[in-house]
Amino acid sequence: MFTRVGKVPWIPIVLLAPVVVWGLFGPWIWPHEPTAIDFAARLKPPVWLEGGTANHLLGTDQFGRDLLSRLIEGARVALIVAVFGVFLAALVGVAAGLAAGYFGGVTDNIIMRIVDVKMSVPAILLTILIGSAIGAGVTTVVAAIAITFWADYARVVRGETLSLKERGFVELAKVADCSHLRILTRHILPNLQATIVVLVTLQLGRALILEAAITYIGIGIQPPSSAWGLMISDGRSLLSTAWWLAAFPGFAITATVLGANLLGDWLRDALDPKVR
Amino acid sequence: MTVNGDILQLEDVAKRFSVRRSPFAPRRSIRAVDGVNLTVRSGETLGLVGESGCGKSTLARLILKLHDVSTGRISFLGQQVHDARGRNLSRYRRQVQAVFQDPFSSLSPRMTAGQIVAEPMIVNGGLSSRETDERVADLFDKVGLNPAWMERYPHEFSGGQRQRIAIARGISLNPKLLVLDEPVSALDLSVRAQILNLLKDLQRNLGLSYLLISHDLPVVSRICTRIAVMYLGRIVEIGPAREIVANPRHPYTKALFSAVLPEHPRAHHQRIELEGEVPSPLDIPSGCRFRTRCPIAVERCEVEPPANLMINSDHMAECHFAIEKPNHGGELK
Repeated sequence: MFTRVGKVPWIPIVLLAPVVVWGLFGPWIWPHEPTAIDFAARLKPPVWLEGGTANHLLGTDQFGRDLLSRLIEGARVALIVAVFGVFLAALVGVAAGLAAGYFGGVTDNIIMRIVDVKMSVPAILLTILIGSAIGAGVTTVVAAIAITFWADYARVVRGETLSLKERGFVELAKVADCSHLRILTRHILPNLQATIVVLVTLQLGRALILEAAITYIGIGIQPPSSAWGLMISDGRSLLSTAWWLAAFPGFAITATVLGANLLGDWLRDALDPKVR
Repeated sequence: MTVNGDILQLEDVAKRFSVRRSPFAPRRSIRAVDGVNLTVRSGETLGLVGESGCGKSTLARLILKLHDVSTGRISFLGQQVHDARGRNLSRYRRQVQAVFQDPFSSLSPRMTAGQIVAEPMIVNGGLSSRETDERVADLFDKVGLNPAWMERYPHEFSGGQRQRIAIARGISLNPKLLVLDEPVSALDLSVRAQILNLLKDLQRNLGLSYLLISHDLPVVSRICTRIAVMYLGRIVEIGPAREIVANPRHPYTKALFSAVLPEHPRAHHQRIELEGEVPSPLDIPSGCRFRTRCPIAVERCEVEPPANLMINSDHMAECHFAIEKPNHGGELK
């Protein structure tokens, strides 16, 4: 199907390449150990500013740790959190939304009331709950993201399923004696593809931001390992003297979120048989 | 094709939907289909006509088992099917297929034309994938499509071609009955005739029976063997097409056919105009359900629902005056 679109999505590739390459191959490419403290080289600016050294391309933090190396380490967390969290949410949410929209009645009521309950509890409260239950760490962040986001999928997918199941081709599938499973997977799910792809890519961005927030309140990634959100919150207090500490992780998040969204646009078109 | 016996039989079939106008209002029931008796005979084309909202499509959906009947019986070749489940339902569905009005929503946009046509055969099993492919190519040929187009997606076809794909899918299991719900009303005039001719050819070659739902009276009177006229959920007149067109007995049928423009602009043409709106199916009039708009209604119509009046063995009308003229001496409403 991908061959139908001749254009290669260069912009999303360029924007997402760092996070993917860094996340997968971090230990082989970081110039310094990300946790190596060097008080002799505290708060060095990036190389192109006065006082910068080629040894620390993006400068160092208040402990003399290399910023570039920490960004590379943070990419892995971003990758794990975004991919596992969002895909777990999508899996649960899409299944729930399909069941609610397609079967209706009691199934619909039960699922949508759970969604309502979930929506009425603040995400951060849920996260703290999970954090205190299973302890801080990457698992907590992934669980928190999945639990926060699944309801969005459920709502959107339910709505679209409700309208799709009234369409002629779904009714004709019933007339042709297709099973519910076949109707859901062959007739309804493929037509939800565009919606789900767009939602996933939007959620990837939101997941990174939520990860930063969770880390900020102390139940996410624990120091001394680094995550982009953690780096921003650490760099915040030094913003007036060492702006690069918060700025570069910020750029990394922005570029990744933008790249994910653009990739989503491209995927939506690439998967649509109507667009050549 | 010779006509021998009934294949589909509806006895006193009714479908009620329960509705609630506001959260606090009591539930009321809409009588969408209200006591329909109907048979489809082997090899015939039965036309079902009526205004929008008269229950024709609901009736089709009951026959296709997309809805369950509220009361009444549907039987197919002597087997009771309205409560069929599991294997019996599958067996029934193999024999009754459908083509819907809108060829743009009745084909799954994410499947190729070949997949769409092959699906009923895949679901029902029994054919190898090579046999299925050959059969799909054969079906494409039968409905006048180039088998080389199997890999294309529905949006690459025109409306008429899409309807051909839908028909190919409909006949892929060699059904006995095809329910055609407004099969040509979404198509251009020039394409309509082609599709109708295709349907006629298929009927002759495959021995299909059709239930043709339409509000296009010229089409219905041209290709149907018999015509059933529906009003507010009931069949008010049914009979051989020629008789219904030439000599309608129910005042509603008369009005309906008088609304068709004559073939020649200067031909003598008397139009019967009906007053008022179709009553709501929430609130069906007492007695004869057509009396509120009937030009010949009398007091009797208000209290006594007309019995099925047989004009001859094959022609029925639900009107007190289907045979006799109304006695308009004094008791006129």
